[in-house]
Amino acid sequence: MKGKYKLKIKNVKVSYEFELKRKVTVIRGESSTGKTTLINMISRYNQDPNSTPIKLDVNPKCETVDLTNTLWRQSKDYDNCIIFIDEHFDYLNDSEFNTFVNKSDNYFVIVDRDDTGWLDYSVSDIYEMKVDDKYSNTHRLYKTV
Amino acid sequence: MLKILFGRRTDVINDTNLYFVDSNYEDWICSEESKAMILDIDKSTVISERVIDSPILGGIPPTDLSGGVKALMLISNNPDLMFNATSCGNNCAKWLLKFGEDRDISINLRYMMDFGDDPFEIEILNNGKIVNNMIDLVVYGGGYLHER
Repeated sequence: MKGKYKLKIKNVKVSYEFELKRKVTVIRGESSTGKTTLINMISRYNQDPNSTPIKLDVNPKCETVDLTNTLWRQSKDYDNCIIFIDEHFDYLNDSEFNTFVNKSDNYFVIVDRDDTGWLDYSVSDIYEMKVDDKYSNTHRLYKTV
Repeated sequence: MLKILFGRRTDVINDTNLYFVDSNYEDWICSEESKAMILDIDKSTVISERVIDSPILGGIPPTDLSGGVKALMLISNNPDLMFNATSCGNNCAKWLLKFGEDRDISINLRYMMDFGDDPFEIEILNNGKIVNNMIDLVVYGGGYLHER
């Protein structure tokens, strides 16, 4: 995967819209800004897109994955996907996972305040969630120098 | 006093989201402290021990509250346990300091939380140092964040 990916996901209550520009995007910020709600919506959508009012649009088109500890233990076979990882993922600092991230073609959206091990990303890839009424999008957390 | 153990640890309760689901949260979610934290952090109102009114999500169970406020409630109501408080954003810092005003509370943190500009008292459990401001917290505690 290369270049920018625009993602929109919404249900009747909340809407998220943001752009992924590089392989690893880290989302941090204060509590209750909707970070976990985003991951949960991705997860519910992926369970059965036809059985949910959640609308997900990814441009260019690609699959999304909500990567849990269980899924990671079951399979490392992900390719050309946007992989979402929530803060309770235990393998962020695991060398096998770090190798997978650095060598794979996937894009990663990581919601975590913890040190993300040896992953290659820059401070400009760290975003926070900004909520405007029921619309959420990401803003770069740190200004470039 | 608020006491912080910095760095990734295996001897703490790591996943507060998971722990909360099966905790006895119904016993304390209607306390004045819990209601105040839920209103402050999640901008939500406690209707009953099983229902919260969220301005964004509507009526939700307590398990759908933010990770930060769930961690705060666990920390406050289980002072004998040490939880990983990394789910708590900077907007939770004032509550952690408040807990420390009248009881000893120990937490594990894996990032440098911003406790603000006002003087505070925090013991860094990694080295026993007591600090009163953010500069000292970073200087004496920051190096432990990458400990495994």
